Amino acid sequence: MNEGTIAAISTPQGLGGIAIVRLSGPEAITIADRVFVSATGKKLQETPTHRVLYGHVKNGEETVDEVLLVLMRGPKTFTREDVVEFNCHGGPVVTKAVLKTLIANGARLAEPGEFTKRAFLNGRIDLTQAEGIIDLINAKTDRARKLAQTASDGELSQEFFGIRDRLLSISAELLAVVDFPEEEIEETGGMEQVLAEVHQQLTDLCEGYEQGRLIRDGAKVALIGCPNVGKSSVLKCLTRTERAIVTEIAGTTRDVLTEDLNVDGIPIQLMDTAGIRESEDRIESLGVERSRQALSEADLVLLVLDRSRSLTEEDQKLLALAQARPHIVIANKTDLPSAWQAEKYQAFSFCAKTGEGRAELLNQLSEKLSGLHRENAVLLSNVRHFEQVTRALASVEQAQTTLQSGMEADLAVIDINAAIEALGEITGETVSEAVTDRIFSQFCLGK
Amino acid sequence: MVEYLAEQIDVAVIGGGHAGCEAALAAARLGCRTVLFSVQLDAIANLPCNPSIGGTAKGHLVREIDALGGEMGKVADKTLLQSRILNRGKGPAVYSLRAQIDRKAYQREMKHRLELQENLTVKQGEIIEIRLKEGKIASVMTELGAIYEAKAVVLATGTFLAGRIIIGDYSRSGGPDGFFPANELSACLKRLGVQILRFKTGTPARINRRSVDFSQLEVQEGDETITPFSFETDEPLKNTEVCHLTYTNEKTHQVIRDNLHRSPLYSGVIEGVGPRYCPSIEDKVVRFAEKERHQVFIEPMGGDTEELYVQGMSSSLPEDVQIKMLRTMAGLEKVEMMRTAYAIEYDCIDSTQLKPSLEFKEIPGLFGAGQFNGSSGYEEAAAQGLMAGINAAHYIQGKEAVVLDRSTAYIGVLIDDLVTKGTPEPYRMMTARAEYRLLLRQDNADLRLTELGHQIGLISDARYQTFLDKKAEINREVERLEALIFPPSEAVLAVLNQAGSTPITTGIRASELLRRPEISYALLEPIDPDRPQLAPAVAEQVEITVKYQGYIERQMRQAEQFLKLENRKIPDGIDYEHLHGLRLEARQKLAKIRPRSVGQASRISGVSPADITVLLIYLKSTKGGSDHGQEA
Repeated sequence: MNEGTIAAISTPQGLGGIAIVRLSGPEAITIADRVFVSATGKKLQETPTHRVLYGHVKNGEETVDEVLLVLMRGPKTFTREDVVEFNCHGGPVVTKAVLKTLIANGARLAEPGEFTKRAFLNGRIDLTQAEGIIDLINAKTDRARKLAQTASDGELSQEFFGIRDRLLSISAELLAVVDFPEEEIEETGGMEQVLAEVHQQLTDLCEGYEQGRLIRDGAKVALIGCPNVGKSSVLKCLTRTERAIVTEIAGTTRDVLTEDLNVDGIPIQLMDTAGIRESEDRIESLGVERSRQALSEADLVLLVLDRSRSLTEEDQKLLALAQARPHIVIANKTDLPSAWQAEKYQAFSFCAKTGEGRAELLNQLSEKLSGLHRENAVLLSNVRHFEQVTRALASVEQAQTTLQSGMEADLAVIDINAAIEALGEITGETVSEAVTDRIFSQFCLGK
Repeated sequence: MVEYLAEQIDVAVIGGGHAGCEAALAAARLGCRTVLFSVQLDAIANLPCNPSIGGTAKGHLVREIDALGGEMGKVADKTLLQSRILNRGKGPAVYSLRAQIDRKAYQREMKHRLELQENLTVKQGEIIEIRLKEGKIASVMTELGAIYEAKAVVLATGTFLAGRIIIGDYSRSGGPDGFFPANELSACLKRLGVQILRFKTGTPARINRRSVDFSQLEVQEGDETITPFSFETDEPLKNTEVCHLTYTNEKTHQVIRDNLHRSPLYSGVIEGVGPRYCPSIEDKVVRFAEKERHQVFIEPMGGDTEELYVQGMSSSLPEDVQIKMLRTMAGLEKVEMMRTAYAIEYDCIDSTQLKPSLEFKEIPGLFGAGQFNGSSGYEEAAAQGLMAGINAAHYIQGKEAVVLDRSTAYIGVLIDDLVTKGTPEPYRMMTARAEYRLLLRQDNADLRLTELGHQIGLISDARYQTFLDKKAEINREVERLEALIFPPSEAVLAVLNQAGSTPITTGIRASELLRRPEISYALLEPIDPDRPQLAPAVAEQVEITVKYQGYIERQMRQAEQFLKLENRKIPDGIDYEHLHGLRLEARQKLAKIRPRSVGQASRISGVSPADITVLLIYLKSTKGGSDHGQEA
């Protein structure tokens, strides 16, 4: 579990100017002393905390690398443990050699995310922050990074604390009134107002979730259409633009080729049914079958139709399918004489061959995907947070119903407390005792 | 001093306040040879502060004590002067019984019951020493050298332990109401390694009824129909007295402000920590300077005395200032003060030294209860006394300790708070402290606890049978209401119309109708000819069960979640020193409190959610900590 001293390469794999190997745990300084020879000859044990030292990592007599070493004693470190960081020369061979040396001298290879886990277990960060840091590391685009940053900085936690605080105030006020019936505690009222505002805040968070999830995980976009309508050329046309950068070919999964691209900062997984080779038999039916599958997983569907020939029964089937999801219909091949009116199907005229309509299509794609986006809003991107916020929202609604129905206000406390608890579970805080403390800070109480 | 062996007994109870009385009765009734020691037999069951029992959350405690077979509720019913339910209309969870008590009558009645109790001896004497043998309780000794060999001791010393009375710049060693203090025992406890704290509390002046101008005061009547504390009381109870209400005013506050420099609270004479929720009047005036007035209740002390109690005016200001400030209030212009208000400091313990059974972790056989444990209030004391008495008997008889959890009883909340979190000030029970208070209502205390009381042996078979009959009657009627359907007939619509309730167009279940806030069980009686004759307590239970069903069920689900961590037991003897990943503070706190479950561990201040995660991971990895714990 939280045992031993761990080491790992903390910078990305690959060539770089420098790379950092991080060491954390009770033995970090002892292990570092075993392998590090400073230029001044001074031992780390005798060096004050938060210093940078120059020297060499040695494995016995052999010099492994020339490094800058950062010494940080706990608890003022990321993990709250003693931490030593080696700034080595970049390059996988050298870096791995430094890591190997550390492991040979008593460190253990860290599990994925173990530094963050320790930071959480040692109370350095709360759950939301820990989750944010993990998302930060995995961020695919700049916007995803910013989103994760709000979580790891505690901005997201602050949002939850803020809402929880407002609910606690209501709960405390209700309780003070019943616990001290002989005191003249004025009920400030406005409870329904506060609940309505909290309801709005929670609703906003829930609605922002879709947006946040898209930014974090990327949007799944399914490109569907019958054979020979030009799916491949649409794809090529889209991926060739400056705005859509193909980051990697992920390989085929379930016969669907996916490509990762990035449109205006939103990562996109393009599920390309065009990747299905058309040399197979029974291709007509398979096309529908596979489109259907891709469609069921997609956040957005791009349906490609050929405008130069009449719509087939197959096309009509796909049109019907696409209606069930957010979609864009592309009327391709505008360079040829048209066989039907694009407006009839609210289709988007496009020519993959000439690239005509490309900018507009990308605009529409970006717009559709960030439909809910509010600038500067704190967005939920984690499914656990979303579930808890949804629970809190349901409880707040129950409390509102209680008050509106004319039931005793005290009963609303049950659901208000449930909402407080749900929000507390997001940040990993326990909350129940906070109420009594508040009673004292807010009211004049006698016997 | 020449010592002599007086007697060999099972349980020695030190102190005859509300904790001591319940502890002694419970232990004796469970078959233990018991002696209750009091420095002054006239101090037994004294109500040295307010002449009332119950109040918010405290009323709940009294009913729980009664459901478990304790005495407080029965004696209170027998000696009450006036009774009221507080918080009516604010929800069933917070209805609270409160009664004005004839304090002398209460004392006499309780003392007499102690005297009549088989297995119990009441003895005047100050215990000055507790002796151990091989680390366990062996005997206690009185100031006269009498040795009582005992297997268990319950400490219930209240405010007597090294008590000190303070009025202005006057102070002297003393217990409440002019009784002698118990000065020797504190030193002995320190020698045994017990950690002692110093708390403070206070009481207001008593005045002569004949000097009060009642024409200027508001009258406070009792309830028309009195709900008794005890589930056994079946004769109707009557109000014989009223209370009155007056207010402090700007003049009162000016007198206090002008004389603050003479208050021992502000001059530093008082060292003990006082309760925040029961502050002295000078405290209130200073802390809540913006309040223009404070309520002051004038309450009777008894049916055969003209002494009145001035609730809300607790003070330790000098006597001349007290008279001056009392006389600034409407109706009290010519008031004659009979007893001066005083503050009292006393020794108590850091309650985290106790197990949830109220036994000291380090001294087998030694139990603590009441103000000695850092609580405040008669009801809190009695509740702990009862549990300490039961557990002292169980300790001697080799039975498992009885521990109530937070979702079962206010008593559970009270004791869990004391032993898990400790208390930096005298601890008062409040409904806000109970997470599941819709389940812990005062009306269903019997449904929650009679079964357990019977198992323990403090509830007779006859009473248990009566209880089972009541429970069955409630269930039958609830089921009948679930099945009964009212048609949209003229009679039904008339009743709805009269209540201002939405008319119905099709048939509706009686239970459904009862869930409307404006519809009561009584209101439906005229259209419900098949309704059985039910006792008021049964009808009340039926109404609450049906009316608040949705809320009760939601709260039950919350309680189930709570019980999951509560039932994840932590094995004894876990070595927190070597549990990696725990922060230093958490390690120390866990080692000190030694929680029985992960749930309890999570309530220790200084133990963070992350520490609990570490603990859970550890328990999983060692396969320690079973999922199935025992409650009671």
